[in-house]
Amino acid sequence: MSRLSFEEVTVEVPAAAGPRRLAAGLTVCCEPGTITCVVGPNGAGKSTLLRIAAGLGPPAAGTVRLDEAPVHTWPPRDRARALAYLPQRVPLTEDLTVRDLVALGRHPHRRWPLGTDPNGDEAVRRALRRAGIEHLAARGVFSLSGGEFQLARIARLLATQARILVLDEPTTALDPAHALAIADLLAALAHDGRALLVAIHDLELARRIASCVVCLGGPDAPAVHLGSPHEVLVPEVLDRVYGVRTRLWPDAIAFHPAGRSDGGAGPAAPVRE
Amino acid sequence: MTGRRVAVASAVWLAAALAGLAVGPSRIRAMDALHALWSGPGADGLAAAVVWELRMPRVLVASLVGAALGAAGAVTQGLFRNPMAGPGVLGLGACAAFSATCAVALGLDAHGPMVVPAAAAAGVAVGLVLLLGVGRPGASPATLLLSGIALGAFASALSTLVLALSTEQWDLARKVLSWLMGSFESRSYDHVALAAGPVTAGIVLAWMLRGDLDVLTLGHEAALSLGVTPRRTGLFAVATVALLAGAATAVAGAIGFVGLVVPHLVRLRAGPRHGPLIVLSALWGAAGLVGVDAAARSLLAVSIPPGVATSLVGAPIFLWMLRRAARGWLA
Repeated sequence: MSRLSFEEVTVEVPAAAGPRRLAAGLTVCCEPGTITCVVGPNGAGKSTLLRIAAGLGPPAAGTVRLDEAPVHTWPPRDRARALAYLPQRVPLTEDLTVRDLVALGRHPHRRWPLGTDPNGDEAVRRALRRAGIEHLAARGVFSLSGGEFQLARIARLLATQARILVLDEPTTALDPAHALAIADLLAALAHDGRALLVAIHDLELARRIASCVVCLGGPDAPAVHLGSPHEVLVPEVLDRVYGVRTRLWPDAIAFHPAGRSDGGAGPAAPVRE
Repeated sequence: MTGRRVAVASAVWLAAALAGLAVGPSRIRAMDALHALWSGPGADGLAAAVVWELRMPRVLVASLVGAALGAAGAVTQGLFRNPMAGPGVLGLGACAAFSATCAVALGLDAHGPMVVPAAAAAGVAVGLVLLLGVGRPGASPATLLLSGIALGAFASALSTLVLALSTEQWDLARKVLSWLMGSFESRSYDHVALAAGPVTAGIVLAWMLRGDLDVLTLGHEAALSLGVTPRRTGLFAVATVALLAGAATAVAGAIGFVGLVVPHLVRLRAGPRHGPLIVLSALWGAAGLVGVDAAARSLLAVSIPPGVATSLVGAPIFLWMLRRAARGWLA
């Protein structure tokens, strides 16, 4: 079973005054069947960390291993069959059909020189079915809603048959129903035995699906909080990281500007988990 | 669906080629011309000579040039993910035209009919080195695009300068102009032989790039994650366009618009996947150029340059199709 392990990983981004350190000493392992959620404020380095996890660049220090070898040293096509990466949503320039979009996930399986791929059609069909969008297969992507487009993009990852999925903000800018649908799909994909690494803004969704949470502290605090959702998604951590006052209920998280003493409207009797 | 589209495009090309063999300024009846075609190249008589020695090479050259420009346009638009891109934006056609122009101006064309095409090919090679040296296709498509446009503008300005300096000698200016406007006049089997290799190789290369170009539509990061290196794909794509546009310019001079419009029209009908797009653009490019050339020769007494004819015919068709296509890039 493949796994993705971070060993003492440091994340830096280039800045005018030299590289800026966003996270240091991150050690965590994405195991099959689990979802590791990366949270943190804007600019905390979530996307940079995921880019490194996907093998598109080496970390500033430390190693990310896909099985035995550092992920950025894998031959690109082999890596693409073992690990699939969903960047943040960018609009497509071409009005592909959903089936053609999903079939792009077969690219690393196509054989030189004729591009043959014996299992391609079956893999695309299975990916469409797993994402629940078989009925959209012939539609053009320009005609999809945001939620449908995101499901199609995730089906594109599934078509690669990779066992490790790295997703950058798959639920951002979706309405609650679609965000929940995506979150449930991710939970089901992990349940199938895949290892998922997901950057996510919505802490309630993170609490819902995460096996493990990595909270990046932002540019002023390169420390990393790591643990189960019950250990990390708590006011002690979130207040400091986000600079807000957090109140927590069993199925809700509320934020208020720091410095205000009243909690505002919300369910009665806050509960610490 | 794709098979039917390929069959239709091939049939139209074949019909255009037959028309191109049957009509022309020589006073030969179309039936005689087709009969001469049927009898084979060895037959006696004026019709056989005209069909096999004048019209056949012309039709073949126009087919190769049209196919090259259509396929090159499909690759360029895929590489830059931009509908405004034709093979011309890389500036390589302009480099070929400039070096051909210089060869004519220096009188090198007196040394043999293949000297000027060879000079054009050399110009493409030099332009490619300059473009890759300055533009570095891995840097970003925008850098490459702007470098190509600058290179093309520079080479065009130099060609115009040579033309301006040569207007003193009308004969020389006319030869230079025929390169800058494109021409199929007095093309021989030597031209066909010169273009056939690079055009075939270029179309095969383009077809092999189809999967990478498809993946590039997902954006840089997703392409990388699928094992496609945009830098390497860019390098191959530029080399392919150089081969195709270079071969086309070397045998026919600068012909615009085909490489921009044909892939665009094909995309509106057949969709954005590059496999069908490249094949159909090559076929429709060949059919379009041969057809327009045949129409221009049969309808008009004066010979108009093919580049001018394609623009005159192509631009209105293009605008009409854009209006009909409510979707698509420019809609």
